[in-house]
This record gives sequence, C-alpha cells and structure tokens, in this order.
Amino acid sequence: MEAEIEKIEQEITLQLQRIDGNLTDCFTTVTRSIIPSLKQFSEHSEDILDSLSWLTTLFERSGNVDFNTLADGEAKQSEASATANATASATTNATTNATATATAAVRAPDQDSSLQDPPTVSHLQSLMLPDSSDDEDYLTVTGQQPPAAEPSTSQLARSNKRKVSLLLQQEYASSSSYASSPLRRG
Amino acid sequence: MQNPHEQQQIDILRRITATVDRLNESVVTMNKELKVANSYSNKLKFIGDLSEHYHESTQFNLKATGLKKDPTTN
Repeated sequence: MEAEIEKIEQEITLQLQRIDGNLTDCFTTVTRSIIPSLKQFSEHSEDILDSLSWLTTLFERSGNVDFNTLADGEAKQSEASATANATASATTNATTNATATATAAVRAPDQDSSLQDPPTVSHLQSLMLPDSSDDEDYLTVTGQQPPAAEPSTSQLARSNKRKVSLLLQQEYASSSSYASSPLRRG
Repeated sequence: MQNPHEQQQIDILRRITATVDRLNESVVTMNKELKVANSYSNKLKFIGDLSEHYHESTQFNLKATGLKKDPTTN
C-alpha cells in the first residue's frame, strides 16, 4: 500500500518535471527562433512596401481616395448608412469632378498600356471606369461595403462610376460587352 | 512520509510558474511582432488586389474597344 503511494508520488514528480521541460522548450523555441524570424519577415515586408509605395500614390491619385482613411472606414462600417442620405447632394458635384478624374486617370494607363491611338474623349471616359473608381469597384466586387470615412470622396467616386457606366452603355450600344464586363462578375 | 516528495514537487512547481511567466512575456512580444507583420501583409495584399483588378479592367477595356493586340505580332 505504502509502496504504491511511493510509486505514485514518484510518478507525479516525474510528470511535473516533464511538464516543466516541455514548457521551457516552448519558451526557448519562441524566444530563439520565432521572434527573430518574425522580425526579419516584418523588416523585409517593410522594405517591399517602401519599394511599392509609388503604386499606392498612383492609385490614390487616380481614385481621389486616401488609403489611410480607407482602412479606417473598413473598421467603422457602421457609419456607411449615414452616407446614403448625402448621396443626392454629391451628384451635382460629380460632373465638375468627372473631367478632372478623367484627365488624372489617363496618366495611369498611358504609363504602361500599349495604346497607340491617341485617346479620344470616349476612350478617356471608358478608361476612367477601372481607374477612378478602382478601389470602390474592388470593394463592391468583393462583396464588402465601400468605406465611408470621408463621405464626399466615396460618394463622388460612386456617382462617377454610375455616370461612366452610363456612358459605357451608350457607347457600346450593343450591351453585350458591358454585360460580360469583369466588374459584373460575382 | 511524503515530505521529500512534496518538497520536490513544490520546487518543480515553482520552476514551472517562473517558466510560464517568462513564456507569457515572450508570447506577448511575439503578438506585437505578429500585429506589425500582419498589418504589412494586409497592405501588400491590398496593393496586389489593386494591381490585379487594374489588370483585369485594362484587359477588358482593351478587348471592348478592340485595341487589344497580340503581343507576338509587330
């Protein structure tokens, strides 16, 4: 009887030692391998982001959207309902901004596209569809709500998108091209 | 007489608590680093999605306007 108790006590001590050993292994692996490699990963990804920052400025300018406010808006999606009331007032400003965004957007495709004909006004407006409302398009296509941290810019972008889609429909009178647009997918 | 065993078990438990304390601190540090790395990854993903979407849109527009040309032809 007492021998069994002794035996069990020894086993208890052994198990406790194993627990301690395992926990120290956890601690050493986390401290020695995981944290330094994480630091290296974050350092490298920061370098990559710095080298890609020009793309963010490009898309920000083409869409007249701030990506910092965009990130905040995704976190506060409950405020999106408040913007619905103000969309009517923003449509009047859309026409004045449409030409501004069109000229800004042409710079983007001209940099890397192989367009050889000089872009006409209709091409400008048709090209505006992916560029100016790029972020809002992207967000709506993926099913998320467009951000509303700055109501004016998002509403402007949305109204611009509506106007451009109308122009597209008018230009390609056979609506088959618009119906098969990639923006309609999903 | 369970005293020697109990004393030993108490010592081991004391070691365990100290180890778990240090483990907690290192896990907190790891969480901070992970937050930073996660934010960078999300930004990179956003840039990648933007460029992919831009590519799709330009391809569609080129096809729709009839300006898309075969890259091999000159």
